[in-house]
Amino acid sequence: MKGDSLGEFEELVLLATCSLGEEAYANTIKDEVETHSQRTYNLSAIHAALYRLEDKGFLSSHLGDPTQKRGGKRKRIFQPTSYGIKSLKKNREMRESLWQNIPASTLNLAK
Amino acid sequence: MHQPPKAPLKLFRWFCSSERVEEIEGDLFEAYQDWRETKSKLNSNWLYWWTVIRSFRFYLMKKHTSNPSMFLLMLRHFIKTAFRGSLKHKSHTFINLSGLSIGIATSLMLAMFIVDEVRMDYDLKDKELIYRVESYNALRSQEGFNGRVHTGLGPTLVEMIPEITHQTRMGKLNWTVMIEEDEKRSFFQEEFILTDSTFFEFFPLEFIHGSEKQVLTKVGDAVLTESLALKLYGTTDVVGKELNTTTRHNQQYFVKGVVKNPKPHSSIQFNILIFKDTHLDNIRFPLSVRSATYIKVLRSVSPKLLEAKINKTIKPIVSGKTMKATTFKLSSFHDAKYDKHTDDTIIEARDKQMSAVFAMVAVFILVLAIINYTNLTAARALQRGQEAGIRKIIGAGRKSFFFQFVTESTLMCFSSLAVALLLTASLLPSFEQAINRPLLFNYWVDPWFWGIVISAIILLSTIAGIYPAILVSRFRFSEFIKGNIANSTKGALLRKSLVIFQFAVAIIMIVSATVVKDQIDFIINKKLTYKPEQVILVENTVSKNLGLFRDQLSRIPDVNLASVTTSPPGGSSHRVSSDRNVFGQAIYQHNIDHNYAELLNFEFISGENFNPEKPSINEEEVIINETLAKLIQSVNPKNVNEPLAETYQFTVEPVKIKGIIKDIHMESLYESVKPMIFAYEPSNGFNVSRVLIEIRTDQIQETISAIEDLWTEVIPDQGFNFQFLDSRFEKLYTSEIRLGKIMSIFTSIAILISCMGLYGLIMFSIQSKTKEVGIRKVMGASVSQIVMLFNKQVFWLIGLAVLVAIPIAYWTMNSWLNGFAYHIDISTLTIILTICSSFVLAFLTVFFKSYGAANANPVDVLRSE
Repeated sequence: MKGDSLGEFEELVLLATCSLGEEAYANTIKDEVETHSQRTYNLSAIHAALYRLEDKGFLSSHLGDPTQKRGGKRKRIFQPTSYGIKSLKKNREMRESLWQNIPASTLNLAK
Repeated sequence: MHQPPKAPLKLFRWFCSSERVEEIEGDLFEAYQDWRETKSKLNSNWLYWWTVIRSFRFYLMKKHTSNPSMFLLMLRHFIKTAFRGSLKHKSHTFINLSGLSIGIATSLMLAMFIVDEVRMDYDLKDKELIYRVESYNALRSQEGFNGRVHTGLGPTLVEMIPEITHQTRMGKLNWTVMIEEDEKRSFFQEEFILTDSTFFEFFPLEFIHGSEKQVLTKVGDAVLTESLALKLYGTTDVVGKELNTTTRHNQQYFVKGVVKNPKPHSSIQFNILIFKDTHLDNIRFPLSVRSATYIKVLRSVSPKLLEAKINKTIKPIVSGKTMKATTFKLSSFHDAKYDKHTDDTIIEARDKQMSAVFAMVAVFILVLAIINYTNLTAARALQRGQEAGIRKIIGAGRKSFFFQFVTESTLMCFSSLAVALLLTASLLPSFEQAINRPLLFNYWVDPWFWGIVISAIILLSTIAGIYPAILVSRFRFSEFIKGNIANSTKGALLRKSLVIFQFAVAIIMIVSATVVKDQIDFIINKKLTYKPEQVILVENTVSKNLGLFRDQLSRIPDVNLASVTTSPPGGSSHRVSSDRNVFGQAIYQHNIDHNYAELLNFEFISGENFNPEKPSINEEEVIINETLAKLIQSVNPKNVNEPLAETYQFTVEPVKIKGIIKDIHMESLYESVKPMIFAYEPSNGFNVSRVLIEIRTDQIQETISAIEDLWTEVIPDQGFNFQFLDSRFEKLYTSEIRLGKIMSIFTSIAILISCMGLYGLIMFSIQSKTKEVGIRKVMGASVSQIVMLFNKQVFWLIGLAVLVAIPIAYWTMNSWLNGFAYHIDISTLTIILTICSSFVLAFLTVFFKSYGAANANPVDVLRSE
């Protein structure tokens, strides 16, 4: 996990953050990841991933407004950086190119 | 709005760093609201807890100023410097290591024995509810409390006092078991306990054959231990077998059960349990056999109130003068175990004095070892003062010095512990032998043992490291850099007083060990008029052929003389004392024959020995001892001119005085000589008697087998059990003899450690004075003058130690000696010798070290700058 590489779970979290726009904070990201991946994660795991992504420069963040639902505490809203988006795109391209190379007969095995 | 549980939130706030705490707390709060919509409260709370616990992540933790990697770095640094230092100063390390190892090993061994003592009977069920009933007879107040009471008391107590739920009575006897196999008889002397069926209520044991309910229900029932069953019959399946004892021919016993051996840590030890014949037990009878009686009470009962109730209930129903004058006392099982004065024959009283001495010695030796370490380390720390000075300049504070010295002492203590464990493991067997008692528990596999040992060592290291740390951190760094703190007098007073303390302890131990040894020699050797190592004692027998046996013994050439008696010297004598006599003191009767006086070398002051030719006259006369003669003269009950010529009823019959002998000691020297009569008793076959046989010492084995052959010929139905009289005497003083051995071992250890400490101190003193010595030599000082220079300061210390130690030693040993009726006085010679030897010892220690320094070439020393 060292360096600038994007782990699998991190990628999930980063994608979820991108899709949520202004409403991206730990709880919503958790819901988003859970609905798409069809499994549950602990909130602390989401936190850990978010802070790590921020450390690596894939995300930036600012504090939002306090709300009643949060017991009067402010939330940290995350936004992808351009570097983050670039990395996502790079990952996707890499996968696409790998997909291209799979022969049709192999893909048919799963049918 | 749902309120999340408070406790996990508090926990979270405690560990989370302040920059993250708000946002995560908010996220948690929001998540909790969502969970409560879909899940039960319990589930949500649990989830909340779990999430907080999962959030223990390093990036969230509060940051502390000193980070852990710094700590590890310093630790590694200190360990490294400690290792280098100890390798560089090998003699210093050696003294420290060996002193500490010996100290720890000694205390460890002693601690094991003390813990053994404390853990005795730890698994006995409800032992706090068990009490021993003791009696006190106002008519015989000098006898104190008796551990055995009227045998009818136990059942009466259970019947009349509802607070007392159970009772069991016991009497321990050494009986001879006879096994007949193919016309061949073998005899075994075994420990019997006569008891009630309730025995197992008190002291539960696991049955191999039979069960608690079926055994000990009627006269003749016997229960064997596993080991005895194997010894006698070769198998444990012996239920229903017949068991014969020669001690009671007229009663047949049958084995009803076999139990596992009593645990070695149990106070109750036996080989056979026999049902106690109860039909004559009635508290209303004025006379009765005595039994050790144990009761079990309800949990809520106070023993003092119960005692009063027992006395109130029992007094009206007893009869007879003796019983009317008897009161009862309850003694808890624990107290009974340590009561050496009140014997009930069942539990062998444990020696509290020994444990106390052990504990004291253990603490002292450990303290001596720690003082050694502290003193040497402090001295060395000052000597390498420049190192400390530089540390201070770089910014080392008090904490850092503390950390450094504790690291060093921890390393040292744990290395010593390793050596000490090896020492203990190899020396333990010989130590067990020295005090004649193996350890009851195996400590090496006990996690508690290791836990306590390791925490004690950590504590020890902290104590040992604190003083040097404080001392060093007190100096200003300029003082360090100037380099003169090695000669500083700061803390010197404390170091000197510690050395004084060490030597004081050593001197006290030397004096005590010498006094104990002298006293033991005195009581074992001095006061006897005969040679106990040449007298064989044949134990209790009832046979009408004993007289014949005695007379036939003269056929064996190496037998000098033989005598049949109830009372061999060396304790547990058969005594009949009567308080009805006119002299106001109990008088002790010993039944003897005509050879007894000659065998024990009685010195007749007046009168003469019994004449075997005139047994009928002998029975009307007695021999008395000097103490009784003085008593008769002072009381003079008949008020006549010649009181010793009168007839008196000392015990049962009126008798005349045939002779008066000089006092001899029949018991341990803790007791003063009692007024005694020696009555003539021809061997009639009804009394339990013993035979004393005096032999000439060479060819012991052959003589004993010749005696045994004669025994089997004359008295074939009894076992031949014998011992030498000197071993019987030694048994009286086992605890003193052990005390003597132990004292001498530990005194040597204390002396060794103290000398090591002194040696180390002198070593440093010499090193810091090398230049002074050099200059003195250049100015013309001789070697002896320089040696004396170092010795002078040490002599001061030893002198002070003597002043402190001698009064303490004198006082302690005097009070120990006063426990004996006959004792030596602490001789001035002993004290002077002790003082001289400690001076000589100190001188030699210092001399070895200072001689080299005094002989060194002053040029080498002075050039070294």
